[in-house]
Amino acid sequence: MFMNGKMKACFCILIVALLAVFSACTYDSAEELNPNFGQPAYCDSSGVVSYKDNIKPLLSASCGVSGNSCHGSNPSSGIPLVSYTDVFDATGEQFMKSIRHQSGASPMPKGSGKLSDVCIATIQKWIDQGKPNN
Amino acid sequence: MFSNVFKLVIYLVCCPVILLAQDDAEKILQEIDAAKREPVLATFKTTRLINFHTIETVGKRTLDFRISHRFGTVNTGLENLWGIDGGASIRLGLEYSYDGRLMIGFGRSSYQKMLDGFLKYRLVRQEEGGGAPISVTLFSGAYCTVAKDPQREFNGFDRYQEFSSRMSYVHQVIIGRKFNDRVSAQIAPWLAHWNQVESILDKNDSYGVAAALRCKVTRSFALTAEYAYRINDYSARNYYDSFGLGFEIETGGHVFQMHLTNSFGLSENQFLPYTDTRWDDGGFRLGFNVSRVFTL
Repeated sequence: MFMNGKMKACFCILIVALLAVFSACTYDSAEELNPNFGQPAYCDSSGVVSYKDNIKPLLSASCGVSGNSCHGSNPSSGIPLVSYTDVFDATGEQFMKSIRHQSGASPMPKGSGKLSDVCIATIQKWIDQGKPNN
Repeated sequence: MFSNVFKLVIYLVCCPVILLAQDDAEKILQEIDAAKREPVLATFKTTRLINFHTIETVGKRTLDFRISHRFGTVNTGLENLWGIDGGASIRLGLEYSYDGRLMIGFGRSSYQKMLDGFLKYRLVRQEEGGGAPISVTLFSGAYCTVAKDPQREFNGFDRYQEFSSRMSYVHQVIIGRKFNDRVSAQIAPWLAHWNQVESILDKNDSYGVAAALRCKVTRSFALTAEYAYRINDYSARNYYDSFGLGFEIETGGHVFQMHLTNSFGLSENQFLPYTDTRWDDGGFRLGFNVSRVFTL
């Protein structure tokens, strides 16, 4: 009616271009991309990892560090993770194997799922930092 | 007897002529009608009013070079000369149309290092004398930020690791009308899509309606106003409707537009959904657009 052949061609090009544009749509957020997203605040391997702010709360939440619990001061497992010295001594190669659920070590934490990658990375980073009491 | 034969001969000779004449008359009337239906020119003076796209496209085989500039907010005070000293954003753009209806444009603005490209098509033209009462223009823009993630070192990840995360899109149907020699107005439903938003609670799509008004005061001077209403709730952060007031002066191939607006970003994906300062606390700024057209 109001379109001749040339205009129709232009219009078709526009529609095709629009379809191309729409087909590239995604629905993401920067927050989701962050590996720390949805993780407890103490599991954060981005900056300097602190014993006080990261490692201690992580172990408290996942390893049963009170009294007669698994890794308390009188631990059923025989390996306490209460004081800084306890943690310094325990966090060796075997410890990392165990939280990574690798062969040759008992998978930890016992009875609950494996720690998230970020939490494991946080511990690894602290070890790589030389296990500071910071 | 003779007179009857004569009448018959006359009739046979002239009949096709009479019929032809009738055809011609209809044709001529149609042509007159069509001639009366002149497209309405210059509903707006350029393809932008303040920030918003108007229904206008550039003329046939015309290249439009545009410079847009926004200063800092007025509430930064005398020390910053009310925003003129700092925090400017600028867009340089080249826009072209071959047939005067389908227009293509590219630009780059400094804020968020945003590249933009758009297609604009004049679907319906307002006509005088019984034609379309309104003009309709379709607009589609795609935007790509080329900025680096400033938080990359700190967060330990790059929010732009996927290229698609840099892209965003805006689509508009612009409906406008020139009411008389002085007053033109338009309304434009818009949809903006960002492939990546900040928070998981934010929505990637936002939509609303934008309106614009132009009042001609003298031959070369006009007052302008625009307002974009946002309909859906797409972010937990505070954003505001884009609102601008200004004037435009036409001199030959130049159009110079000067205005106050609360929007800092110069591309549609920025100022429609993400205007983050407001008028009532002095969060508006001075800005200008300069347009120079070249016929190629």
